[in-house]
Amino acid sequence: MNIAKLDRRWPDRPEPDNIVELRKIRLDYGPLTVLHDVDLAIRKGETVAIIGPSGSGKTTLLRCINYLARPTAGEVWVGGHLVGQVEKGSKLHAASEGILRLHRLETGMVFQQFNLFRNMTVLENVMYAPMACGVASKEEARERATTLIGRVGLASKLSALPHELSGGQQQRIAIARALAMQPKVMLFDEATSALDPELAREVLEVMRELAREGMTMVVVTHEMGFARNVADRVVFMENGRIVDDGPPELIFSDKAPQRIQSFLNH
Amino acid sequence: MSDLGQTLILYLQGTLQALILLVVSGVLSVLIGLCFMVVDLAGHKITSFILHIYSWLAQTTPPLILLFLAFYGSTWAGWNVSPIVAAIVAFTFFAAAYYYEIFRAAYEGVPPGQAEAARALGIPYFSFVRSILLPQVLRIASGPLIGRTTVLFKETSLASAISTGEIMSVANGRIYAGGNPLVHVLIAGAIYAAINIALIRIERRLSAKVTYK
Repeated sequence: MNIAKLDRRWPDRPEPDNIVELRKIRLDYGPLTVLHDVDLAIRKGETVAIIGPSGSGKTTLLRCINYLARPTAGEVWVGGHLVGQVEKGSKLHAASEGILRLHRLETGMVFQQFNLFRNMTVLENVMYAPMACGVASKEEARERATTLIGRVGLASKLSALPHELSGGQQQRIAIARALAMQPKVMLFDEATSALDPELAREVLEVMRELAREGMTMVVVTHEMGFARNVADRVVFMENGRIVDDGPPELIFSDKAPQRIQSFLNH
Repeated sequence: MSDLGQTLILYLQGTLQALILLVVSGVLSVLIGLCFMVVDLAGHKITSFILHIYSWLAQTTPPLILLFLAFYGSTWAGWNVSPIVAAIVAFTFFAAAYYYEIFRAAYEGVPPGQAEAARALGIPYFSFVRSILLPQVLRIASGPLIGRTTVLFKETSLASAISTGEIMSVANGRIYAGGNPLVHVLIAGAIYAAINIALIRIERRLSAKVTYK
């Protein structure tokens, strides 16, 4: 009998329905603890809104899902794979940036500042990642990209450069760019915070459509309308902890804890 | 008449040699400057410190001293180095520092979120640098780069001090041979001006082709 095998503490896989599972995620910046042993599971097809005051750790938690932020401790599971750690000699080690790259193929992310590639046209922005990552040929990538750009309503802008687009249009292209990698889960980091209400609305419309089509989504947002009307679940965070987690009907009702009510009515 | 013809040929040769000096040391120092930028970005403390010292030295030492160091220094060390090779070494040594600073400043001008977006998409770092970062750095750097290159071209005239055969050496030679100093200085000046105007034209063309913020 292999003693090493008995001895090793390989963590249990999450249930197959859980696209994302965070276990005891802790993150320290020096003496400051930003996340305190956070647990969160997100099921396939679910749209989860994360709300809470500034500095509560929402964005950091989101960035732990694709390891743009490295947790100090804890496990991140996406699509049944452990993210950011590799097994070597029956022990878990921190993954290199090269391996993380492969782990990140299952998550798509949309940023507050859009972050489109400025030297590329709209079409190239959406085509580039599938080609560079070797998951699609040039023809496939082009086909995927044109379809997705059409879906976000910008088929007429294929050859425009990012600076020729409005903020709302840029963000819709950023969503298409993330979708082109066919991720299992989409992460939205305050995707509408840099936009005025009118432009935010067109981006929220795309997100709502995506949720309706059954995409699994984690949405850090200040848009309470979206959290209330689109999300299946709302997670309220404060001081690096999840304070409450439930359906929007509950979180946005007078049965919610006093702290949440006062945050929502401030 | 044959004297005029000879002078013309000498100036053509001089121009050719100045252009060789410019192109070889220019291309070398742009490449080295880019490498230094990449090394600096890797962010290792010791390499960054060495780069800063180098950059400071190269920019504060008069080019003429560097030329003499390269030429007489190599002779003193027992190497038989031709003046033009010594000139290329000296020009590359200090021009690379200027280009490195230009590239570093250009890099600062590339909006930082794009690197993070590329990581989130799983794009390999090398692909990101080649297809996204470098095109933008070069675009931002193109103006100052050409500007510095026109200065470098004017600085090639200093190579006459170690008896290469470029434009200024030809002018000097003609003057010593009894030519009218004013005429020859004007001819040399006109050649520098013409080539620099051409350089600036090329830069305008290039930047008109790709305009984005």
